Amino acid sequence: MSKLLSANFARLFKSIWFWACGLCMLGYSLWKAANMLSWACGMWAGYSGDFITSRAGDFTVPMMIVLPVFSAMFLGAEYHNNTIRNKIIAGYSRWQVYLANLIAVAAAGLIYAGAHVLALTASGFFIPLHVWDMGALTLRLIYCLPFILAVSAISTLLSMLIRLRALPVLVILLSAALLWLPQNLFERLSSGPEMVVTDGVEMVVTVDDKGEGEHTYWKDGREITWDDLERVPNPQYVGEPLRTVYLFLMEALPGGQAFYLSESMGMERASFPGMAACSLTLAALFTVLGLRLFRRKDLN
Amino acid sequence: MWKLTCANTVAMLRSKRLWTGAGLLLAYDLASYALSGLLRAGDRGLDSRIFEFMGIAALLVPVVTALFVNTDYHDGTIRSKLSVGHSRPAVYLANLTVCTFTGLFYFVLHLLAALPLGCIGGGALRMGAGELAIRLATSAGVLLSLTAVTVAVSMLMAHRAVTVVVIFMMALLLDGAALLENQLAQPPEVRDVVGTVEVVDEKGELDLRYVDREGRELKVSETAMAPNPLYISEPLRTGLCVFNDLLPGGQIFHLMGLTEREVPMWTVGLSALVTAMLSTALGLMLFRRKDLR
Repeated sequence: MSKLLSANFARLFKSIWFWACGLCMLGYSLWKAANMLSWACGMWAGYSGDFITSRAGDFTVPMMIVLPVFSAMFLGAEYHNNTIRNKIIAGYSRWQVYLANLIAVAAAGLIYAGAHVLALTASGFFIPLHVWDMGALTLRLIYCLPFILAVSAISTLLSMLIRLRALPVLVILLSAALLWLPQNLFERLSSGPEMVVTDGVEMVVTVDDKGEGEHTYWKDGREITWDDLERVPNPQYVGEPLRTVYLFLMEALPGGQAFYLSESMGMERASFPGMAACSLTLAALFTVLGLRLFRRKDLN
Repeated sequence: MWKLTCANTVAMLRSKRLWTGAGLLLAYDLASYALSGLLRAGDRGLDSRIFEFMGIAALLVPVVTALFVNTDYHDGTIRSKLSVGHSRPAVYLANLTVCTFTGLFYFVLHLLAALPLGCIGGGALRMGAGELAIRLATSAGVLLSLTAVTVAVSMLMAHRAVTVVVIFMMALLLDGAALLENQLAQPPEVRDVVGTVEVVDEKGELDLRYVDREGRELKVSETAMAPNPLYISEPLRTGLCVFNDLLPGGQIFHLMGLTEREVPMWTVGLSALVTAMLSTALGLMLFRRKDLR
């Protein structure tokens, strides 16, 4: 199997798809790094803290699209060129071929993630008051590893079992659906259990020159506080047990994890260890499923 | 070329991708109705339902087109057609014709699905018959423009990665058009104030008021207008407007009414036809010289 891996890695570094997808990821990482610098040196110039850890997982959202597309094109070429058949004829077993391909795809994901972290870290040196917390950063990256494995496992399964010309389109649609679903669920879960009655209430929002807003409420000419406002049950509120199901789906599926790891969504009940466990389970399940189905696949 | 077009039409009708695309389009229409039409029945006009097709067509038509043409390359059909005596322009134009008809087929399918669903949801047509006819004709022009650009790319790129290239090309065209329109929507002057106050009165209406550094409310007559640094001035403005109007992304946004700029529909249709002609001419010229080994 070491020869298979050598061949895969040699092909990986010569593959135009690896570099094209890497360029897309790098472009995204540099944009994020530029945003971070603009925040840190502009509005938050006087703030001393860790700017990098919260952004370390930002690569997860584009990776949900880029890695499956890369896998579809990179592994699809093996079918197109009959390389898979040649490997099996040469004496390698199907599970070796499958695992070698999975490792290659996972390696590509790790390289993209590494490039993202390097871009952020290099930018960190330009922030005067940045506080380096390598422990927190390392822990965050460790939690990202299972995510990369899960996405690699799903991508490899699809690429090794589906021989359609339209496979890249299918994976893009699937990735878009996996990213859309948690956003939709999050929007539904955002409704609180009660809603404020605003009839007869005047709301004044004052925005100062620093961009900070202050809300005040007036009723019948008298200022009242937020807590004193009348409340009624919110029909849009998602109660139990559906709430738990939605939250589990957001934590278990790669799409939701991508938004949690990039801190694009608040984590109501999710936790990084829980997400890591779900990702490792998904990676194992999809790998076992992929191995079993690939064993029976007709390679003619 | 008639025989070529007939052969292409039969191949398209027998292909799974046409009917898979049709299924996805119908599923999208149902989902769109379920998510918005049912919840706020009558809130959406039928017009928006008709032209929201352009949003999904921006992905569906290029993908089906790219897959159709690439299959021709993969199966050696293009070389076979040339071997039996058809000219390169005839092969190119036959592909363009069938792909254009495919786009129109999807549009008709969408109308047949979206209109009844919209009527069930209580929606009604808000624009006059004349304006609707012009918009429908413009939609056909924009579909032609979209198909022409995709056929040009697909006929020149024989690699199976053409679908990925086409998807990213469309994403860039749409995002680029949105970015450009946002920049072009910047006003030439903005009010020179330090802070703003949003007041929601008892009727729920929003009123914007202005304050100085001490929080004292200013009357509108006490505020002054200042040049907007983000405003794009001439001659760059005209150039960017023409550029965005010629790209399929900008044409789609105009058709869906998502732009601040008021552009007459006949101008959009004309730009679409110009784009279709230019991309077809360029595609034909390059395809003539392409090595088809």
